[in-house]
Amino acid sequence: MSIARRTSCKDDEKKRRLQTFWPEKRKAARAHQPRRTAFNTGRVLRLYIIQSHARHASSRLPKCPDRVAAQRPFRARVRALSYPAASSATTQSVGQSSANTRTRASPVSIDQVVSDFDGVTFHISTPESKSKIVVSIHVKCYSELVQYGAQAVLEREYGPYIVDPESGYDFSVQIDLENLPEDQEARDDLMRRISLLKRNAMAAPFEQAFDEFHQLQEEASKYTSESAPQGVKEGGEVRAIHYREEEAIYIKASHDRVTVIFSTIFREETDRIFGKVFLQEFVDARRRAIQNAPQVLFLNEPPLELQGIPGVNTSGSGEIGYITFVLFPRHLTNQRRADVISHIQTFRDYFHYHIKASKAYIHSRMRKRTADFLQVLRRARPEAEEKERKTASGRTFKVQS
Amino acid sequence: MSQSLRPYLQCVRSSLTAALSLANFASQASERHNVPEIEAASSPEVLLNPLTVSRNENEKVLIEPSINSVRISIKIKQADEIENILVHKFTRFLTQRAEAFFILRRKPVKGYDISFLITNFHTEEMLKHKLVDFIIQFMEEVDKEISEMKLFLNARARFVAESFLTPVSHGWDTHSHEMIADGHSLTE
Amino acid sequence: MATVNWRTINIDALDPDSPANFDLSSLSPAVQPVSAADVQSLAGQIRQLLRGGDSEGALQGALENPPYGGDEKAKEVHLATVIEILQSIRQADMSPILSRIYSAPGGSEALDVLMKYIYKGMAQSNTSAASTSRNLTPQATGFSQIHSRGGGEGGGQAMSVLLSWHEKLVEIAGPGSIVRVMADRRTV
Repeated sequence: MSIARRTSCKDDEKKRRLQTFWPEKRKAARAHQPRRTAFNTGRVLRLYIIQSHARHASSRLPKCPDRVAAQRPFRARVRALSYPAASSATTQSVGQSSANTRTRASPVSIDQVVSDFDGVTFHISTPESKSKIVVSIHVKCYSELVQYGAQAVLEREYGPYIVDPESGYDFSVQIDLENLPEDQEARDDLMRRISLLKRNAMAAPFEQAFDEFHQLQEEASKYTSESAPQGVKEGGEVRAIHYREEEAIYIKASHDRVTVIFSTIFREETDRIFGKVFLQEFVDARRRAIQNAPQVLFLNEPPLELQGIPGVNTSGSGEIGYITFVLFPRHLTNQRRADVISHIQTFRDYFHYHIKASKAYIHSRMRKRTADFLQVLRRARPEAEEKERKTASGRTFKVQS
Repeated sequence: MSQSLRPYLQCVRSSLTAALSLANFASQASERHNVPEIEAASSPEVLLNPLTVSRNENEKVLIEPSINSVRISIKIKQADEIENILVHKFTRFLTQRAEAFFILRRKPVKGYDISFLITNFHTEEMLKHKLVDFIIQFMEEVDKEISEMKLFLNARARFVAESFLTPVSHGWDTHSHEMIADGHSLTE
Repeated sequence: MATVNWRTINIDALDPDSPANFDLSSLSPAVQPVSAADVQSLAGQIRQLLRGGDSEGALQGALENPPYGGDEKAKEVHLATVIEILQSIRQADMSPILSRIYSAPGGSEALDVLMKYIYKGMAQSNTSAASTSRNLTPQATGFSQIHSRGGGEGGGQAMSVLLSWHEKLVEIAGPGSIVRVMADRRTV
């Protein structure tokens, strides 16, 4: 993932400021341009926002971006919903612009591409005038999402703001800064909604499956378990969302549960083993601490639900893992579903993030331990006695052996 | 556990002390060469009988002495897949820095996890008993380190699993994610 | 003929004068050939002593007649006999028995032989046990993944007996006996 930062009018000043405060970070980010992750992107944007925030709100630039970010209420809310997804970035820009209008600073022109997890790309721009911000999203599996009702969900969420999709993107909304809702709460809500663009797009198949579950449940209640017709007993179709190159989410509703299956790939042996440790704890958590958690299952070959689904890798090579979440009726109630959907969506990123973080931590431990070993070994060298010598001019110096 | 560890380390210590009586010895095979005979193995009469010290089948030390060099190979305990991968990662990490360690061999002897090669030049330059101390301390700490890393991994896994599943099961808890986000808060 | 890569032929091995072809038998004194049957009968006598409660006599008898000239089979039989004796002696009796053997005439040689057997014992049960039960236990799907490392490994018990003998033996015979194990070409 990469970020294409196209310079616009005021960017020069911003860059200068950024370099003053995080020069080495900027350098590092440039050096690893192709490897920059969504997390980094989030950070870059955060810098961008804080910097503008600071311009309006405070004379002194803060040292720690996270702390300041956490102090801003809408930021915190967004982080909680989609952490560590960078989708909050969109909120930031909009937030910034509304802050601009509030403090009567003039809107700036924006043209920025932001990457999020799962190959999702946002484009935030002001093509017509500085006060009209267009936010576009590109999702790899958009056609599948539309098939599972994404259009309806997005229309529900963004109704009047929707515009024709920008070319190269799947869905666009436009916000007219001259024409924002008057009351502050509605504005915050708008910002929040826009920041959840990716979440809402991905939520469609979940919502559809949850609806189907309620329908099936109702139907099933008419029958005893033996006499139920085939369709009710077995549940609905499997919805497959191929949201990454080799990984997919499968969702299946039946009359007493909704099953969400993540297929995920482990590139290395270490990832596989660490992943196993983590998943084992997911499986055990239900037994140990959280009684009404969704049931979690972990398999190396496709579970029964996925039999006969095209595109499922059946080689069982061990590289691919299948994680099944079984959501029970208590997770599917109408008041809970928004939370559950937002949460379960982020599973893959959360999971892989923690695998990587553990690896990094273990690596740093090894580094430290190695330094200790070297220290011990160095003690084996007899200390070279310090010899003092004199130069011809009478100055003394120490010989480095 | 420590009860059987002490005699094991003691045995390694005395065996090593005995094995580390090395003398300069030029190669008999090629003129003006001076190579560790245990590696070259070109003259059978300067190779001595190898010694094995073992605590159990998963933990042992092989000491291969010769006239001018000793090769020490350590097999580190690996009780399961996780320890296996941790040991593998750790020994790889160390061998990649072999030049800093002087006596570390870049490749372990087959059947062992890590090997050291001590030559007469090392014993001339460094204090022999301190070298032995190093090997012993290495054996102690590696074990400890592997256990700690494993415990850390399990603790983190448990925390991660619970903080993911809690909001799904009970309702929204905004803070559970943030607490672990920076990765190191668990152990420090 | 063309299939043989002549570059990889070790010409030293073909040269009778090269150091690689050093005649190792010239390094050790002549030993009498011993047949497996002799060792077997000796083992029978020693077991008799052991059953009679005279473990010290049994140990002494076993150490005075090491089958240097025997084949692998004979050596293994005798090793098993020695290990059996060692395991039958209580920890508290080790040091007194060792010092009595040491002070007897030829005691130093007997203890060198014992040292050889201790090392051989540690190397031995390793290779046999390792080939049969080298398995990484899969992660148990139990309640908890955190279980203590160590304990219950194969061969651990037998090894700890040998390790404590080793410790006591080094105390009495000194590190020199380890050096003699390495250097003596007569192997047990």
